[in-house]
Amino acid sequence: MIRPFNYFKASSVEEALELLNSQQGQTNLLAGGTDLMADLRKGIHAVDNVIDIKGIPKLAKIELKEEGLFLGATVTCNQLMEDRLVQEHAPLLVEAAGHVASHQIRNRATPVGNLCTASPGADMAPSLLVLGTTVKVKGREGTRDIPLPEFFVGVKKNALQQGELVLGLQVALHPPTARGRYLKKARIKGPDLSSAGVAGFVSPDESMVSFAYGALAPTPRLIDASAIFSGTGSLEDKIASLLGRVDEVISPITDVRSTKEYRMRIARIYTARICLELWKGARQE
Amino acid sequence: MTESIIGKGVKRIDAVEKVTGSAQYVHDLELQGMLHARMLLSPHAHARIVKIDTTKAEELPGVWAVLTGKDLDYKIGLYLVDKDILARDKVIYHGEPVAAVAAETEAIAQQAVELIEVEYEELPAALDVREAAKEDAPLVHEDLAEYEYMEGVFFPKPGTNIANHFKLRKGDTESGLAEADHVIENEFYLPQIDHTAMETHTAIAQWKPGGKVKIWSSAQSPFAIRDLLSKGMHIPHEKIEVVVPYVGGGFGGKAGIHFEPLVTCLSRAAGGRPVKLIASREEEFNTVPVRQGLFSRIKTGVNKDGRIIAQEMEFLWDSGGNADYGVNVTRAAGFSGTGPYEIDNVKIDSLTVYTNKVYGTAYRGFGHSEVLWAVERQLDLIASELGIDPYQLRKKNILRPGSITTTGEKVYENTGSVEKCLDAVAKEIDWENKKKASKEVKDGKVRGVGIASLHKAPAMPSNTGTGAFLKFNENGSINLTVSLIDYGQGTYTSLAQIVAEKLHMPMDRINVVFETNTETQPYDWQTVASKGLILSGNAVIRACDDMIRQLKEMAAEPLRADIGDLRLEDERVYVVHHPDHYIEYKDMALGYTYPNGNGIGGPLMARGSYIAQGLSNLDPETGQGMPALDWTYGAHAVEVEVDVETGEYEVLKIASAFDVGHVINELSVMGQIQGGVIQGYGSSIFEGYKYDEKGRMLNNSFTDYKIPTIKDIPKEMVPICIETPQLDGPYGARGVAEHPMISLPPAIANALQDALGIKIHELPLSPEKVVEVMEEAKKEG
Repeated sequence: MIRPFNYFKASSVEEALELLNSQQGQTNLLAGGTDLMADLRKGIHAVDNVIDIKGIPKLAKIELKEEGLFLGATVTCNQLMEDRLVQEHAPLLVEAAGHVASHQIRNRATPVGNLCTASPGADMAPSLLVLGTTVKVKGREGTRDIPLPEFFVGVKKNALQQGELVLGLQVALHPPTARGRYLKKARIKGPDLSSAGVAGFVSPDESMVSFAYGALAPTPRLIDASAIFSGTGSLEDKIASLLGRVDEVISPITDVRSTKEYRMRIARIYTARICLELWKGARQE
Repeated sequence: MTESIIGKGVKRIDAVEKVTGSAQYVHDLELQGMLHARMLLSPHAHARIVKIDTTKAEELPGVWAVLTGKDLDYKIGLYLVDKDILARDKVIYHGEPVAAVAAETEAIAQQAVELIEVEYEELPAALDVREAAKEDAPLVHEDLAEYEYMEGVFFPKPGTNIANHFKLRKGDTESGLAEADHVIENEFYLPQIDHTAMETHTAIAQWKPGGKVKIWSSAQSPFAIRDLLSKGMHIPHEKIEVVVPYVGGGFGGKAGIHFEPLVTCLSRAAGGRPVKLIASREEEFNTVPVRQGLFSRIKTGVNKDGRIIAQEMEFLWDSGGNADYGVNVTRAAGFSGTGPYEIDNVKIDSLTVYTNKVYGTAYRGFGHSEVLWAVERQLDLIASELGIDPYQLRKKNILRPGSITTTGEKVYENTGSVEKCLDAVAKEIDWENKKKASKEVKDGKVRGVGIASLHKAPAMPSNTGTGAFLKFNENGSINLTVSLIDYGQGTYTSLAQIVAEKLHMPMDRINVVFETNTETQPYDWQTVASKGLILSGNAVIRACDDMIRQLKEMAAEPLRADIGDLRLEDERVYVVHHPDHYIEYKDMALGYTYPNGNGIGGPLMARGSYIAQGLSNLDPETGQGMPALDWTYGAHAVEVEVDVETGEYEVLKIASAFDVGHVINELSVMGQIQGGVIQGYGSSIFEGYKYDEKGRMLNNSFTDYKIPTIKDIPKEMVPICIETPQLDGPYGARGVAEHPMISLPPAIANALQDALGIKIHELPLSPEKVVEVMEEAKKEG
């Protein structure tokens, strides 16, 4: 049962910030609302004020800028998946967004909201991590950039300060021949939360190689594997040394969705499969 | 003669109303002055209620009634009357209703619920069914000795958690096991699962002046609600009116009685304002009953050639906090516990065991999915130990004409054929070739095939009866009313086909009334047990015969013909040797009128009744007797492809055959089979209640209780109908509503065994479980 709360709809970032900093009690921002409304119904949060930012035009934009691909805070998963710029410059994000919930929910759910909820299993996190993403944040004191790995500070905790909002994400640009892959382990093929998610990325000249892990530690984890893959050894050796890193970086738990052992196993299998695919083109379904 | 409509794939008569959203469910109903109820649920599996303070809730503006268990000195139940409307003195499962509020709005009711203060003193809980069955286990029901129950049918053991002990003894198991070449013993387990009907349980009650009660409920069985409410609350039957409009699924979960007594008491306490309670999805998992868990132990004596000569079986049913319905699951699955096999020496002990979990009730399959999980796995374990093909092992032991079942019933040619079902699915899956083929496919994938058979008879009182009314409308169309509920299974369409066939009318002239009311409609025991089409079909045939007699009697006079010379065709009664000499039904619907204005006959209405024939209670010591209206046999064959690293697998194909006797509606039967197979598939792979160490349910929503979506269903499903007519079924038909989900879990597990050599004893068959069993097998070497 959702308790009554004050609802504000901001038409500009300035107005949203003004509201965010002037209301008494607990104030939450609302973009897609697919996490917030479910939490309110379950009574997980008690909220006094909700500021809807969907009416702010500049936050709904996807733009190609010199410094990267900009995804506004209210861009929905389906909007992202259907966008030509994203399809061309960051196809890995299209793949990852396709794993978020169901088509109907993706009509409202936003990648930025997915990150702000900061669930360890956020489906957008691993792919955005491996591509290199900066979170553009604005508060009363002005704007600041938070590198995505630093944005996740704990289970369902992000690095935003009181009174700040996320304007959007800046995703690093890569040549179209860069290769990426996201594999998600879930209990069903229909809408489900991730019980393990692995993203891998390699730049065309193989100078940048990164892997990231969701639902396998308190926060999504990034491994910069460029050094591992820069040597001259066999792919098998490189995979083995990457798996050594994976064992160090992840620390899965046993919960209602999966066991620690199985999550560990899946993380290793998916990592190896992504490597084989990215280097040998053996596509895994 | 026009072509018969029996067997045709006639479209569902309720399709347009349902797909356009105009069909009204209890969820949709709003009454003048209606209040909304919410419940306070137990946070503990087992705890004494030390104190409840409802003062603050009562003072909240907009609250009309607050009830706790101490206000409600009633016991409710069907077979064993053990259920409180709200917890009294102690709570016996996490999610049990402790108090309830009726208020102007749902939000006020919820706020009031949160203002109720309860002090609990936690008690040791009985959580594991094996532990709970022991003498020294914490007792869930201290007062079991005082409960009413159906005597001679059920056997509770006061002073223990055993709510029923069903016994079956056939032949001499001890000598049989001693003589057998091999004795193979195994244990199997499956957890509780939920029905997950699309419409959650919903009821409205209005307590009227003069002690009358009117109830609207999303229910399978309006007359069972009326009867159990009457008995439980001491209200005469004629003062209770139960209305059931369209229902959004049940699967057994809406059989018997649920929130109706609670909303009745709330309405009475609120001065007669109607009170509505809609179960939330979480309550649907936590509070509303489920399918019982089952622990099974089977010891089989088998000869080298694969012939089973003796079997000892113990079933411990995890009934949860109440066993009012669970005791009959234990009995029904007990008497058919061997599966469709002929075994000369059988000993079965089937025990309903109270535990401190949400309680069990009817669920599509009524215990048969659970026992056959064990039976059909045991057969593949035997086959592997003896080196016999699992399909051939089954063929060696199945019931055939002349066989004697475990309860001493003789199988006849027309009982149906297990063998034809097994052969059909084996052929469809290409069993012989697949068994010979290499298991390895490519990319670390291996394939395997599995087979399993099944049987089930309706589980119901020996004297179960039903009725049907027919009445003509002014224009010569006809209304059929029954109190069997079509809550999604499509039976009303089949019944309409029977009317169309018997009365020679087109389908669009037959109106089956979807809203059922116990005040005006004929009796039906319950809509359960896959008996709907058989019993109601026979009642409808009799009602049609009654109508035909009346039509002919009325027409004989104006046609100046002998009744014996009259025939029906195209909505008219005609003289057999002068077909142009006829009277149309529409001219007799309200009575026939001569050209001069004289009227005869009067409005046409007819009735038909049917009661199960020749059934008997079972002997309390040996379980021998006649429990089965009809046996529907079936079999599944499955092919899987497994990823040996992740344990993930794809079910490539499921072939399912059932001896349905005779198809009445081809589309409905195919739909039933596919729907049941998918539900069975969910229970095989994804579903199961999870609890923490204190007995609190961990996955009480679709976030963590998964059922198959359209993306998850098997790649190919092939439903097959075998037709060995049931001589006393309508047009030879048998029930097949529950059967499609039975034995699918073992068929999949058997395919996994074939693919990987792994021996799984426990559901669900998650990829994680596959890996776990593979790893264990590796360790054991």
